[in-house]
Amino acid sequence: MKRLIIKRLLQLIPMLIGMSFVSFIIIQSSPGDYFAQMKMNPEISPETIESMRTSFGLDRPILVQYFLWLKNMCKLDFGVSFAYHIPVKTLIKFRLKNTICLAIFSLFMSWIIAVPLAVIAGYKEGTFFDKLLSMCAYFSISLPSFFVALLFVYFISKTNLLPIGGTRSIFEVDASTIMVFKDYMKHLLVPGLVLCLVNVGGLFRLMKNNFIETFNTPFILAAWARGVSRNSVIFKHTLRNALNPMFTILGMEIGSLLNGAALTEIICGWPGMGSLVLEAVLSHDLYLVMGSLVISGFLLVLGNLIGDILIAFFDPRIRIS
Amino acid sequence: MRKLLHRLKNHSRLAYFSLWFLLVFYFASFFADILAPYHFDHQFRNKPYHPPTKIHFFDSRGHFHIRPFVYNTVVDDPVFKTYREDHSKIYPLKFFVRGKERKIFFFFKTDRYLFGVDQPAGIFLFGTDNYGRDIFSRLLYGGRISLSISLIGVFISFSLGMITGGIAGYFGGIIDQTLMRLVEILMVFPSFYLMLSLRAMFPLNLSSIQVYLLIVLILSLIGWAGLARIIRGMVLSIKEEDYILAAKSLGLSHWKILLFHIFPNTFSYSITAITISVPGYIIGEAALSLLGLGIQEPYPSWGNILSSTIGNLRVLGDAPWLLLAGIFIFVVLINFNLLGDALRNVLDPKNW
Amino acid sequence: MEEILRCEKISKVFVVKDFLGINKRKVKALQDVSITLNKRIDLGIVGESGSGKTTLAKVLLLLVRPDSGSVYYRNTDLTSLPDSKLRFFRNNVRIIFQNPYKSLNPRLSVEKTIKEALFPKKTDPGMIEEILIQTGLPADYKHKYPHQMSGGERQRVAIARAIAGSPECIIADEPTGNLDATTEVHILKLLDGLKKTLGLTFLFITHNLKIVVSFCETIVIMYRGCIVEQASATQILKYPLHPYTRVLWNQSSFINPVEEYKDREGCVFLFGCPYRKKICFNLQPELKEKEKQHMVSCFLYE
Repeated sequence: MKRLIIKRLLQLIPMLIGMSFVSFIIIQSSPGDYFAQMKMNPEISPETIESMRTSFGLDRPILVQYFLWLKNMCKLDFGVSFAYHIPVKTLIKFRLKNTICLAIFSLFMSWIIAVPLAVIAGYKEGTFFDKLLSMCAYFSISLPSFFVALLFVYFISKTNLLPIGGTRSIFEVDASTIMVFKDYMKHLLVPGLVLCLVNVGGLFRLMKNNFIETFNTPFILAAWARGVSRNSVIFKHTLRNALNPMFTILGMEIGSLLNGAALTEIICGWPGMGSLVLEAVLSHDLYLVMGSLVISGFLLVLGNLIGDILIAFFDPRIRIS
Repeated sequence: MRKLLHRLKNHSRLAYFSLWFLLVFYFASFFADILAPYHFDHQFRNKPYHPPTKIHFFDSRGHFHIRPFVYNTVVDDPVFKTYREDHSKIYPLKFFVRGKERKIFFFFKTDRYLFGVDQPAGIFLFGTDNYGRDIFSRLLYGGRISLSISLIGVFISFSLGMITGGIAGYFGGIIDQTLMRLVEILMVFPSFYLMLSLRAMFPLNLSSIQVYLLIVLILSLIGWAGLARIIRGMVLSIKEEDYILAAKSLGLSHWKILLFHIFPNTFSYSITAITISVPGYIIGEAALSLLGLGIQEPYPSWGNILSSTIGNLRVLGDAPWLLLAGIFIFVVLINFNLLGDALRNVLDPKNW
Repeated sequence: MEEILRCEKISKVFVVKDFLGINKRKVKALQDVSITLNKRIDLGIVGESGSGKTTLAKVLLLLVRPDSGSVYYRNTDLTSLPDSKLRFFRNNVRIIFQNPYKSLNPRLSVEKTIKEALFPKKTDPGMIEEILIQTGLPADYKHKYPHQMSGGERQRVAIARAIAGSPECIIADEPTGNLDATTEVHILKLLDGLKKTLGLTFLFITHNLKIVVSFCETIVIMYRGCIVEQASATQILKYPLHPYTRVLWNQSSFINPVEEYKDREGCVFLFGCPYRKKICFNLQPELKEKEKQHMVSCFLYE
């Protein structure tokens, strides 16, 4: 167990280095100057720009730049954003918080919906109810997230049911924490529901397959034969075993949510990592892109690791050996 | 092949239907030049955000016409873009109607359209966009771009994945290690961010053909890694089969074994994988075009038809028919998913 | 006597991982195995499943590279040659696998399967049909695919593939292991006939001592990766020396089928042996010539 975690963590290091290197090369080979925008600003003198260039080490060879950046990253210093003039870390921290909130919210929602439905559908396999749900699942996996987001936005623009764009609409200084939280959740609802709707189908199908597979194994038959009650067979014996492979999915989903969330965030105006990366890429904000890529890659790998650990934790075959 | 179709039909009527549906879709997109009632950048300057044209059988006096017809429309309120039908003259639907001259398949010049109505009336089955261009025609033309990008993209990344996965799995050792590390690094990137960064490597103002090729390139670069990994796994297991040992014992060269013994046996999986991965490419193209980084105006793609609705609640509220592009994507995606699932079951040797 | 194939002191260890790839376990498939195959003197290798016979066959063809030891073909050391230089050798020494359901590529027709095996590459028209008829299959079977044939027919195709390059030696790895009893007889008759008409030398691997005694001149008995006895068929038949061989002959007395996974000292057959002595717990006896042409590795005879 410990060895597994350590092994995976060690595997992480070369991966992150490789990944940051690749992204560095990608960003470096993109055309345009990082200071193009600043140069156009008459208030900033060319000397300031030159001094910035040297302070960022941008006049050095590319490899040196990379290692400078890597060295700073080890100290958790991601550099300063060219466009925002604030440390990348602060920017990412704020945006990442939003994205993670969104991811956790939609993850939670989709699991809450998918798992019980999958158990029912799996137990009543072949019935009309099962078929109906399977069809709905097809719809869910085939819906592109941006399309659902647009539909939601359209619907809300017609009804004004929920706020859209940003994270808060209360700006009073004396607003209580609860009020702010409520407001935050309201804003979270639209992108959260969009992502939930898009993800729930895939989860449902996986869970249902696992459930049916486990349900047809001899040890469940043996449990029936022993006269174990129906609920006990379903929940204690089948569900527990069927959930095991789902933990890998959970880990992978954290990563894929980062992916899927990006477009939804942009369309729903949710200030998360997705829109940040889009802006950064478009304005050649070197350190911001690098920082976001590395952080998101780290999260992705971390997600996989969590999945592995959960599996190991719930599977006595691994936990004990 | 015929047997496969037969098995597919027996396994799932729905999936069989999906197959035909997709073929019709591809067919329609391919022949967009012929089928579309207007050229994709034919503008009706006085008819922006025109709602879908109503097709009538009964005129205003209640007379029945065997040939369906439309009325010309005039702007009612220029601010809110509402239109009212002008009942004074009917414009019957005609085949091979004369219109603006355009080229079919890049070289046949003609001014005939398969169907349409006489000017100044217009037949907008799905409405028009902000420049007064017919959405239906743009969707057909857009399908040509979106669907072909996905097919070419899948083809390229599949070939790449097949070669790298095959070599890594078959030869193993240091080659395998290197290739798989590379693949893992590519897979650690959230693909959407990678897509954006790769797009940023190139200037924004490229010619349309360059953008097209660039999107294909980006999508296949992102897609091949996952396929390579899966194919490597398959090759690893096929490699241990007795018939591969038998081929080896005949003294066949490695390349022959890979080409004639290992790759053909990944075939059933490959078909399924291709079917299942096409949606990803369609979405990828749409996402890029949606953000304005993909196919540029005036060329249509399903993504950039949607793009005018982003961040503009007013447009979305005024012209919801622009969302039809999304429905097109959705319909194609669901058919691919249905087909892919059925193919997986049909091609699984366990179910033979 | 004309020597074809010889291997010396072959050892092979497989590393088996558990399903997460964390814990590893070593399995000794072959331990210092040496055998010699002479022209026109068929060699039979007998042992239960897991005794390393199949691994030995694969090592002899260098389909699996040994950890130590060497393989000689007509006194040339082949062990370290790359696959690309083994072409000539592999055309002269062919193999028939145990399971005809696995050893034929499901995507190749019979014709293509045999065509691949032909040597030299040029095909006279009718050659494939000729080979098929030699193996007792109708000529029009060349258009069939493996899944359209029965197990016996598939094995005949596998045999056709083996003889297609006109080899001098064939390694038959339990060629009847997956077939029913009557088909087994047919296949054995076929192999016997081919042996005579084509002048082939067989290395016959099986778990069934009775088949080998009638088919081969020399017999090697293997147990858990070691050769425990080697003698001519008649000697094995009349005077089996090693306790394991006796157990094989009289299978009802096989009382102790212990499955062992851990490495341990001592004789490989220790726990199955009714005659074990103190020394057997500590050492693996060497293979020594007890009588003329009769080798055995057992402390009972020292």
